[in-house]
Amino acid sequence: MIEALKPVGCCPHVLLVIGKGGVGKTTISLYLARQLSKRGKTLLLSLDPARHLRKYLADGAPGMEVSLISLEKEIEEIVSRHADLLRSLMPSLSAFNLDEVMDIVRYSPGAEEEVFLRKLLSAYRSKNEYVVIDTPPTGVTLRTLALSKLYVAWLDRLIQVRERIVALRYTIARTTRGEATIRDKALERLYQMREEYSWLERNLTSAESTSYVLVTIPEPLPMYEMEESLRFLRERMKLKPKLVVLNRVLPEDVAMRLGLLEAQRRYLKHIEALEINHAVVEHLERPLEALEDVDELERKIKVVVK
Amino acid sequence: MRIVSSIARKIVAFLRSVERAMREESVHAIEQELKELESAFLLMILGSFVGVRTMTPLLSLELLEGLQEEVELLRERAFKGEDVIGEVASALGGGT
Repeated sequence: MIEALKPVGCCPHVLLVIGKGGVGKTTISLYLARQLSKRGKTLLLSLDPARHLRKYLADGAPGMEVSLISLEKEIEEIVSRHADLLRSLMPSLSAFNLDEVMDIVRYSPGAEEEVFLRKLLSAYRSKNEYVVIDTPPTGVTLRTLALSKLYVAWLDRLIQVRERIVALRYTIARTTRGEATIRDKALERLYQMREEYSWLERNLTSAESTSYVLVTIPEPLPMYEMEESLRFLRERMKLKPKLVVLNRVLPEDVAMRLGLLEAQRRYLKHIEALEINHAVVEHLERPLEALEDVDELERKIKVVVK
Repeated sequence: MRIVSSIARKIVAFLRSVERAMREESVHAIEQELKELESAFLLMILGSFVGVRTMTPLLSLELLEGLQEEVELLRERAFKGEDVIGEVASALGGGT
C-alpha cells in the first residue's frame, strides 16, 4: 500500500487518514504506521474520539511512537494555561466573570479545529520520518484543512494594521525627537506566526510532504462522505488524494448470500472510475483485536496503482 | 537698519512659531490616528473574549502571548488607568 503513496518526501512525511466514523480509519492508520516504521522513525497520532487505538496497544507498539490525543483535553489544557495571563492582563474580565470568558474559549465554535491545526503544525515540526494521523470526524478534519488559509488571511490583516501603527509611532518619534529606532515585538510575533501558518499551508498542499488517504466501506453514507472529502480536497485544496481505501469488501459468495453483491460491485466500479490509486481490503473473518492482527491485513489487500 | 533687522527677527520668530504650531498640530492628528488604530488592533485581538468576534479565541490567545508588553502599555493608558477592556469598550462608544 505504501508504494501507492509516492512521492513520499522527507522529513517528516505526514499521512492524513480521513473517513467516516466506523469505516476502519484507525486500523488502516495502524497498518500504514506499521509498514512505514519498517522504513524509518514513525509516529502514529490518533485524534479519534472513540479511542479505538487503545484496544490494539495493550502491549505497546514496538518500532513506533504512538500518541493518543483528546481534542477536548487539549482545549482544556490551553484554557487553563492562559487563565492567569488573561486575569492579569484584563482586570475587567473579573467583572464579566473570568470563568465565563474561559467558557467562551472552551466552547467556541471551531475550537477543536484550532487545536487540531496546532497538532498538525507540531506533526510537521517533529523529528520523525513519517507521521500517520488517524483523524477526528471528517467535518472537523476538512474545516481544519481550510483553517490554515484563514489564519494567514487574518494575520495578514492584523499585520497591515500593526505596520501602520509602527509607521505612525516612527513618524511621531522622528518629528518630536529628531531620530527614532522602532522595534515592535507584536509585529515580530505576527510575522513569525504568519510564517508558521503559511509554512503549514504549503506543507498541507504539497504531495511531497503530505499524503491524503481516504477510507470508506461499500455502504451508501461512507461512500457519500468519501465523495464529499474528495470534492473538498480537489476544489478547495487543489490537490488529489494519493490513495482511496475501500475497506471490508465481502467475498463475492458472502455478498451474494446477503444480497449485497450488486451494490458492492457498483461501489467497486465507482472507486475504479476515480482515477486515483486505490486499495481494496477484503473483510476479515474475525474482528481485529491485537496489533498482530493488523499485519494479517497484508494478505487481504489488493492495491491498484493508477 | 536696526528697525529692519528687528522686524526680520520678529518675522522669523513668528514663522518658527507657526511652523512649531503646525508640527504640533500634525503630531496631534497622527497621535489621534495612532490611538484609534491601537484600540482597533486590540479590539481585533481581544474582541472574541467579550462578544465582538473578529477572529477565533485560540488565535487571540496565541497572539496574546507575544503581546504582553503591548497590552500592559495600553492598560496603563486605559480608562481609570487600570482596564484595557474598558479601553476597548470605550472605542466602541461604551463606558466602564
